[in-house]
Amino acid sequence: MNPAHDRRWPDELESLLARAESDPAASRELDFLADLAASVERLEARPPAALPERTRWLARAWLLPAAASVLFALALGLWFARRDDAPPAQLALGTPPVFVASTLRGDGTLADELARALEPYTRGDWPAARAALAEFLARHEGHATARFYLAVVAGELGELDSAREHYSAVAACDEPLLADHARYRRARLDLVAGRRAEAESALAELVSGGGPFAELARDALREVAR
Amino acid sequence: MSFAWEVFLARYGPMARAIARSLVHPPATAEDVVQEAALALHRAARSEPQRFATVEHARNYFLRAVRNLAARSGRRAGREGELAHEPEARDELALRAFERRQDALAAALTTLTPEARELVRRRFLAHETLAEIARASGVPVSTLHDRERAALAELRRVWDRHLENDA
Repeated sequence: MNPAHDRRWPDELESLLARAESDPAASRELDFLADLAASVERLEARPPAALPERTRWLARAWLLPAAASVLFALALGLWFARRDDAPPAQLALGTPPVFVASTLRGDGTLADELARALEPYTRGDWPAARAALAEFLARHEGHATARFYLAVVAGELGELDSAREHYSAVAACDEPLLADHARYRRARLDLVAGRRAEAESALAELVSGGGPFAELARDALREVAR
Repeated sequence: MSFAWEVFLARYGPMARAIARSLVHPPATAEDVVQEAALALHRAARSEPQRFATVEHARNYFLRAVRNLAARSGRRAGREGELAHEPEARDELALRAFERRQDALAAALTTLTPEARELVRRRFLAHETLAEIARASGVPVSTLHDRERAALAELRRVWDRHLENDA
């Protein structure tokens, strides 16, 4: 057996640290590995014991299984959609986002109330989630995050027209990440519904916009072209 | 240099915890080790600021401290003193850039096959060796090695692109 295969990463830390002090490439490699560890940890959604104050409220039970970005789940959806055995509906919906966008977590004013509304969602209880989110939105009509998740829930319940309507509303909101996410998911719904031109147009806009969904949209366009 | 602690710990904390977990001896915990290393860095940066001209110097000090403290853990109990001063304010721009890179990297992680994603997790968070993973999973080491190399190449491509965009 190659001895390298029995080395664990910390064994190489000292060597990498030493090189990082004089070699920019090694320093960059160290930063890459640090970012990779941070990303994996976020995906693992470990209890964030040492999170800074700004994000500590994420540690509430309802978010522990969900402490990462909706982006991740979108990518999961895309991965799912690439599977050959994925039925058409799943091609559109992929895996429902189980994460609350990291960029949205800063607004804590409605955190407790939204947490309660999302609790059934985190359990995958879609009918209860629909009721809870609808009730929340009755009190906070313009809450884009809640509407986004209501759109996802509608999709999970097979109510694709309703899902599309909610995504369209969110796509018009002034939170860029959420709006792009909604555009992306609406486009995938459109693909399944046979609205290919609309879907391609929306995906092309996401690509040209260069935002966080540009690459996913580019991949989706490639899929469509196949 | 002035530390943006929130960014610094968000970026290097997970790696530090992973290192500490693989080396720490009870009753100490990985979290104790990381916090102690952060305190040590904070004190050193205040008393000898000339040693920390760049964030990379601080990173190297911090990760070394984590490794050394974790290796020595269990020999003594208790944690060193609390911070005498509040850390400096965070750097919002750097934090946002870091979060963007994290989002992109995590998104790229989720586009890997489940097997590759699990391999990355076990290697860089659980710090298992390829040999250990091969024994546990029954997958040949050579396959794991190739899988890891391909996954890291893809992840590095995404990371490089975002780093350039943030430059």
